[in-house]
Amino acid sequence: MRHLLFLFILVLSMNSFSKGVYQSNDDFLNEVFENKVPKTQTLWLLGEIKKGAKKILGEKPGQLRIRYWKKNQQTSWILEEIGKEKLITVGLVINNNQLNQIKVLAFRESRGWEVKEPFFLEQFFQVKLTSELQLNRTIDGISGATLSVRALKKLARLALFYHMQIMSNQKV
Amino acid sequence: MSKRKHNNRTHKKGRLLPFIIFHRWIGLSSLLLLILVSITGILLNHTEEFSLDEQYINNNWLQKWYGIKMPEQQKIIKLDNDHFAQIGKQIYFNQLRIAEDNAPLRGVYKTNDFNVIILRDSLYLLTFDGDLIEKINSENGLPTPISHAGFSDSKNKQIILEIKKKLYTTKDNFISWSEAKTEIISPLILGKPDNDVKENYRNAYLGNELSLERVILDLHSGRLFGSLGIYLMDFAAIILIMLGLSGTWIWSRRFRKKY
Repeated sequence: MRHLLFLFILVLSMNSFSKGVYQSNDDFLNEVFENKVPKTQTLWLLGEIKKGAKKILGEKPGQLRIRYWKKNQQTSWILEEIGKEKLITVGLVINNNQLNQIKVLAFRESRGWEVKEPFFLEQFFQVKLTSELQLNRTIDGISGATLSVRALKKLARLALFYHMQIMSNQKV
Repeated sequence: MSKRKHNNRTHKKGRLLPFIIFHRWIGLSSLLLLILVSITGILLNHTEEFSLDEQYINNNWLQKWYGIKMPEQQKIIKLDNDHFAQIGKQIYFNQLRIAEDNAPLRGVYKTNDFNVIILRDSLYLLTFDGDLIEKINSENGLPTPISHAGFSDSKNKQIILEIKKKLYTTKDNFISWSEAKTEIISPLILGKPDNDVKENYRNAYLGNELSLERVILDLHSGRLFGSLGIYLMDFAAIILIMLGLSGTWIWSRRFRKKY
């Protein structure tokens, strides 16, 4: 009986410890750019960019101006998407049109927090975007975290798409 | 057929008859409840396909039944030809719901490019059509809590925010903030709304509080009719179990008799 009670408390505490803010936006950017964070720039979701974002999200993007940070060919993004009911904040780093880093900065849902674990996020390393705006590699899901997994895949596609827009505008 | 065999069959049928009548009547008496549970169950299984959580019921009787009323916190501001409002935790622009935010509204103003709604802990930048450009808060560099907002002069309309007795301003379209060297000379000018606008906001608020999903869910569980409704649905569930058991029992007796 005592063991059962201990197990019950352990499961409850795992749930409450698993959601929250794991890293602030500033700390993430300082980590990525080794404490030399470049000036904040903004990407406006207008015209074709808005259409692409809508295709990825399956609905109109929630806001029209997105902040990013750029150093040489590397861009960094802090994006948010709803898992089931609440926003998941994710930091992403793109280099040479490949996803170099993805990190869950804040998770507010009561379920699906497993998406913050390295065993899941490692699957995104060096993933690219196809011409159909899909990831070029299959990302295995996590049972019980379907919606959170879907949200992270969308954010990875969005960041890769936004990066391509920045880089293609730069070439012109 | 011998007389003994005939008597035996009639006797057995007579023994089954009360169960058949019992089965029939509990089936009929619970039919309406079972239809209700089944239909609402099917609808709830397809909430996303039917967009039940995006449809709202604007019915006075149901709103009263659920105790939905206008919150005490209401602020409606007229600026040029537009209205901005905070009703409860809902933020509106011309009756269009923009966001949920509990923090008190400090003011609104227009730049040459967009509308700005200022709350204690965040700023909302909107296009002139009401599309959200960006929500700015402490996570993306806004100093908070904002106690007052105004302009450094009435001509240039450079926004100044007072935060913890210090003044801040932005020079790059709300991306970064630095301490201001000027004072708040001119406050934000906020107009009062007309009475018909207040009524429109009342409809906009109340008409978006009660989702169809919630009503169907409460119909399914019986909660729509209070605690009595819950027991009624429990009763329907017990009846369904009894129907299954009595039906199986009657069928097994008949099957045994036939073979």
